[in-house]
Amino acid sequence: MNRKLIILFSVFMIGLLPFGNLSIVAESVDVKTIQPHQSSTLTIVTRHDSNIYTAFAKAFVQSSYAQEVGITSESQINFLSGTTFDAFSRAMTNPSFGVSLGWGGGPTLFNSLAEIGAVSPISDPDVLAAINDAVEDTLAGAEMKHYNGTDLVWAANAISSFGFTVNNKVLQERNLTKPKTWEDLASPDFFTSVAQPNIGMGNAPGTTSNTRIYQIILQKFGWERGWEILYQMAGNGKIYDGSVETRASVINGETAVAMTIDFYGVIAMRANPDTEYIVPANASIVNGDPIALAKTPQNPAAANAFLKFLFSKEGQSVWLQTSINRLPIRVDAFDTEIGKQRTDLHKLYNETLANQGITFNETLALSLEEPMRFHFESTITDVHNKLRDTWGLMINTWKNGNITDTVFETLRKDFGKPAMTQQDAIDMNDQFNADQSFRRNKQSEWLSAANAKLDAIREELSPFISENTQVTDVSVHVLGVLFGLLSSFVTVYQARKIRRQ
Amino acid sequence: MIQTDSSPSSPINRVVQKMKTEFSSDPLSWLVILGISSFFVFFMVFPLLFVLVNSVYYRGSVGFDAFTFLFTNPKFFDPIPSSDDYYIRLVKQEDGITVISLSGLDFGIILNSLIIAVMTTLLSLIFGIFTAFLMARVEFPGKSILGGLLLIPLILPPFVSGIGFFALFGLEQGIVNRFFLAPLFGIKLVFEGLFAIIFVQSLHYFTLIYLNVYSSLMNADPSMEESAENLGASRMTITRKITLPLAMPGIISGSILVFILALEDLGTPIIFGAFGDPIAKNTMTYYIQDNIFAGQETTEIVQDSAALGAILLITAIIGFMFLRKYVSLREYSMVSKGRAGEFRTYNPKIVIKVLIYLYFVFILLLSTLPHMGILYTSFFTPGSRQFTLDFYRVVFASSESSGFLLFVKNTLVYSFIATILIIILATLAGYVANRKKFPGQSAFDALVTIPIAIPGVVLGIGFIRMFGSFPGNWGLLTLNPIVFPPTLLIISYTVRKFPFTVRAVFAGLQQTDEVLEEAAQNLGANKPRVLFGIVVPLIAMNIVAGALVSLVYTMSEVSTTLILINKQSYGNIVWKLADISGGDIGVFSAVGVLLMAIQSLSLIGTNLLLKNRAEALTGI
Amino acid sequence: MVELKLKNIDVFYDDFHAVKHVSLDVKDAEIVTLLGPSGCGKTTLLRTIAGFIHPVAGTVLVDGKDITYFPPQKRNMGMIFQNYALWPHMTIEENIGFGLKIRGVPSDQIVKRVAELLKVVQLEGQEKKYPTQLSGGQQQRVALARALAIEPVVLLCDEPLSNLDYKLRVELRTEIRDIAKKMGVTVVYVTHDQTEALAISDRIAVINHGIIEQVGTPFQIFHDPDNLFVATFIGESNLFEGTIEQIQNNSVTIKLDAGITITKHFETQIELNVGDKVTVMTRYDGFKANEQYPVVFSGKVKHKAFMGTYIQFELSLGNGDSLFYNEQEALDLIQTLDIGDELTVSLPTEKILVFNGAGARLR
Repeated sequence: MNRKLIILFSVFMIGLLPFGNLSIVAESVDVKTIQPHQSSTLTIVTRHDSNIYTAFAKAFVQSSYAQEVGITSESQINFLSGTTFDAFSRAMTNPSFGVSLGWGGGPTLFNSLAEIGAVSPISDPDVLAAINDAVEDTLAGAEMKHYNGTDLVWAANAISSFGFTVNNKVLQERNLTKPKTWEDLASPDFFTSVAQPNIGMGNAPGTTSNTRIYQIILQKFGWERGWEILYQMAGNGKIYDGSVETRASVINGETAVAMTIDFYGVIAMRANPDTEYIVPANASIVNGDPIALAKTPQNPAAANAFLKFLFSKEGQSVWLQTSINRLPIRVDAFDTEIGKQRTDLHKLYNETLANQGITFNETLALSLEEPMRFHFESTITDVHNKLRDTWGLMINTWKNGNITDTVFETLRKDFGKPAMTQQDAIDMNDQFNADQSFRRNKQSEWLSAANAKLDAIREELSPFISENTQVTDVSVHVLGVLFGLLSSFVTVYQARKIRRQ
Repeated sequence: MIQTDSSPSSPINRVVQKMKTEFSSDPLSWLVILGISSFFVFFMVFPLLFVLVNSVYYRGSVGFDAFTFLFTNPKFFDPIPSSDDYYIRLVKQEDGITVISLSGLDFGIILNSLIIAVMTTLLSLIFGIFTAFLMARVEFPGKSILGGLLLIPLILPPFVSGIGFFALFGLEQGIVNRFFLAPLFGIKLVFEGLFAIIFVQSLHYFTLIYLNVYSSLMNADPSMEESAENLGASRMTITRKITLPLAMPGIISGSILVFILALEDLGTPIIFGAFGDPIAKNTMTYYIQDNIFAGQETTEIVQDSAALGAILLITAIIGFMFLRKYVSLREYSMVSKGRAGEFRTYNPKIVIKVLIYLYFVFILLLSTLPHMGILYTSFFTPGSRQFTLDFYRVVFASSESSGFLLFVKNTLVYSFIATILIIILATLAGYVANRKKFPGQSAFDALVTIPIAIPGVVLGIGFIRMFGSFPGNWGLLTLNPIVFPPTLLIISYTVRKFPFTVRAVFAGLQQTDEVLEEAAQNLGANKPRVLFGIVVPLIAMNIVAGALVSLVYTMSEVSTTLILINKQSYGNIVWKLADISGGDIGVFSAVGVLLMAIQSLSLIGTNLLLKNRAEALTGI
Repeated sequence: MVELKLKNIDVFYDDFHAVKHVSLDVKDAEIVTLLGPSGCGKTTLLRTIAGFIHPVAGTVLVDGKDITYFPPQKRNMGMIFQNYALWPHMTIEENIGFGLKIRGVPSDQIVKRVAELLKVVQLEGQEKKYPTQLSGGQQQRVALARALAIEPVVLLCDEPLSNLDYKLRVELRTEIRDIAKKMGVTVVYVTHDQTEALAISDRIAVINHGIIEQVGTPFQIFHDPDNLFVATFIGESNLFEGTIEQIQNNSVTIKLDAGITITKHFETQIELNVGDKVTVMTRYDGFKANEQYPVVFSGKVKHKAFMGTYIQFELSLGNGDSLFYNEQEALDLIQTLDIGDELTVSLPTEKILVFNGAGARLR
């Protein structure tokens, strides 16, 4: 008996062996940060996904640039993850990590790094030449190269725009007109029912790309109107944890529209052909995705080689791979073999450039980003159920004719009011970042303000709640039925007991 | 030659004498005790202490501010929630469909978690006890298959079932809603808020109660019920007055366990939160996991999180204390080496039997729905709903760029290494704790079984706090999780899933007569030889069974996995699942199916080995 | 030459004083049995000798060497247990050879020795079987072989026959004694069964509540008990309460509550007074159904039982006390005597044992 089962167990163990050798070889590459032959390894801290950096590592190793500096195998290239600012900046500044380059994460991140001196200027003439060949200072109104005085501290090697992805089939099913602008999304016409979210939005603290979108909206329409739009969009929709979930909502057909960065839109389109990425005209920006040298690069020669590769036509074409789907910064990347196949991306590239973006004030964005993100969370995400229900109530009451257009307009303005001014946000930025109890208190304050704001509106509309035939709270009814069932059961049981006696 | 009494030696002398001889004759056991105790103190007690300290200490000042803040802030504590939350709501839409939303009020983060735990426990109790009773005392064919099927809920962590559920009931693409309820009845069913979490959790955890109660019922002494029947008691009376009270220790210990597990569940809130449910995010575990670092440049924990962690921890430990009390009671009501029960069973009428089958169909359907949901979404594209093997292709593709094999590999590596560690340590610890009498034995026993009750998120943040500033260059043995998570993650698995194997070892030792060891000692075998030559072969089945359970649970461990792994290349299946949780449902489901397959195999093996004894499967 | 000496052994279980200041000498090749009721401490004492328990005070000496605190594995003793304790996952051969393997005996020699031992215990050819394939009696024989394989200084037996049925018990106890004597092994044997003790032992130590009541040969224990406990624990006995009527030099006259007067002469000084209470004991045999002997009992027949080779009568004496006696000669009395009939029996004075109020034997 013992033997049979031990054999079973052993067979099971053996059966799993094909899945891998039982040693932690998995990317232990990352641990070997300090190698005896330091001169031929290159360590890069990055926010890019593994599919991106492994593709680039592979292509880089095959290029002449790598071979010139003695990098012949992918195992010589290490990638560290810099998911938090803390981790990223530490990797860029602390020599024991052996980092030479910082790559990916958006201009805001890199501007912050530049501010604290976590980067060093790109000075190698060949590299500068390669970069200048590929990159303009600005593109579609956005900064592609960032200087500290005359020193170049980062350069964008890929671009993305921000917009939204629609699901045409769902739009049709729900009788919604295809939106073209942010204001379309904020319109009461884009509301169908409180149980049916039409817009997927990412919770600001959980996604840098969605935060970017909100910053765009706030800057294009101004602080007050911008928040109005955000609140109304939220009323029409649902808030998700991160950009991937947001994207998924439109792929799966749960929402009709989702906030996405462009390449997420591309991914959506490939996953579900019903979806389509739209850049709102004159209401977006182009983001350059930066790369920069670490404060003290451990392997400057290899770093420079990588930079040269990255900004070359071949290097740029890696962005076009089907597992990556991003826009390069050089247009001639589309002349390569793979580039010729990606007509969808080429089309998007042209649209992106053609789109006149808004003038985006990077410094302003940076100066209030954290308070703005958490204000979003406290006044939208944390109260979303109530926010959505209130918006629904407002619209239904208005459409039923119980309140006039003017009243609705007033309510709408109340509904869209943020709990702090732009200047407030700028003023509190430093303390907000440094002092957790200050932050905690502010978040509570905003939450209460949001609740109060919505409660006031509901209060005003309370006479009409019962007439809101769209929504009926049946909790009491159901509980009553359950209670009735329970008591009848007990009565029957007792009766039978008595009868038996 | 009658002996006369002489005065006994003083008590202190006796103890000293005893300790001197115990130690000199058996130094290895002491080494084992000290070694294992140190391991748990260092890797469990200390990190938890860090969290507790953090909850009252903030930048130089000590105080209960964080707690005061929590209890006066409606986000955390809202006993009388606002009137526009709802339990059940009907929404009539313009397309003619009526949506039935089942939600629940928002009582604030702290109360939400407690309410979830309590309600899950209640629901699990109802279904668990009823099911156990049916399986243990009522005659109907097909029980062995059902017994295996009832284990299915265990093979997916609740958060994966959350996705499965969502695949079925998520508003638009939910299969049940779209293809069944909407066209046929013009309604759609939506689960949200606390309701959703309680629902999903209960369907998973009722199995634990069922196992516990079933084990109690099957291991009880049949003559207790027989004598009652002999004296004229009716079936109802026997059940109420004898069967259930005898099973009570099992019931109570099961419910405390479910309470603790439901309280510290991170996976389910994460899934529902990921799909945009704000109430789901208002749970203690979610909040802690979401708010770990106090600032950009520090390993200091956000004090709210530490305080919430302290609340979770203390609640769980109190539960654990009661748990131990009732578990020891359970042992007394069991027949130690007695007859395998020939129980008086009910043989009901056909009508009732049909009803019983319907009940099982209902329960199994509900509890396997998520699994079926996941199966479906792994094969069908969203939107166009075409059959495809693409998702599986992605999973099994060996190309670097997709890397799913990496996650599978990591999962197996982490889990296997942890399980091997567990086997070695648990066998030693179980043997020493069971066979050797030494002062502090009870404390040692508590130390190695308390990990069941430790909320994973709390341990996770404790680890970060304690090891976050360790040197990061010890190669594969690096303990600093920020630099290299795997080592500490494996240790965390070892600590957290230790009790299952220890309990299995205990159960085995209980069934093994100590005399067999004494015979060996008498013939000259020293302790290690006795352990490995005599004891281990005899309890091998138990060790294997317990190890399988630990293995299964390490593969689906959520909390510390999500907190410690900070980088994709270290990720395992669970981590990747959480990473793609909202997106890419197809690939997520394929991976989930993979996880299900691996775990099913292990559980089948365990069930074969364990049959009626639930200790290893439930860990208590 | 293996001599086992226990000196002033005290064993505690927490606060319970299980073995109280016990001393015992076991001579070489002697079979000594520890006999007593359940819970008397005999097993505790045995386990102390084995090394599973450490005494709080006292010494255990083997051939003069103090092994009191040696771990069990270092004592080179063999032990057999009530439930045999054979390892189910090992063959008979592996079981028996276990101790030899540990001692580094080469395997071919182990095989030889195992075969020899199996012959001794009459289980030739069973080497490759597993314990579960053997009967209880056979298993215990294997256990014996296993213990003897290592040529132990002492063979310890912890109620080894209690799990066997009567016939096997009788058979095996003789076997164990024979084998032990043949191999010249010193044996300490524990049992609660007095018949077993009487049959198997060279000497018996009667233990009660942690102290040794008496050590002696079976004959001595049976016919010359030191105290009331030993007297009543072994064999069957009649007990009568009585009072001292007269003391003259060393002759004591006792009046039993049942009415009979007995005068007995003692060897030693009697430290008692007239009026003191004593207990008088007789066995069931030695009576004659007439007044031939000095000590006469009269009573009514209460029960009679024909036991094959004797009749057991219960007489009800004047005050209601019962007297049991076994009639081995006049077997026709079973028919001629009825319940309620008067019967007079007598007993020689030597067969009367007298105990003082404290239970000590008056000699």
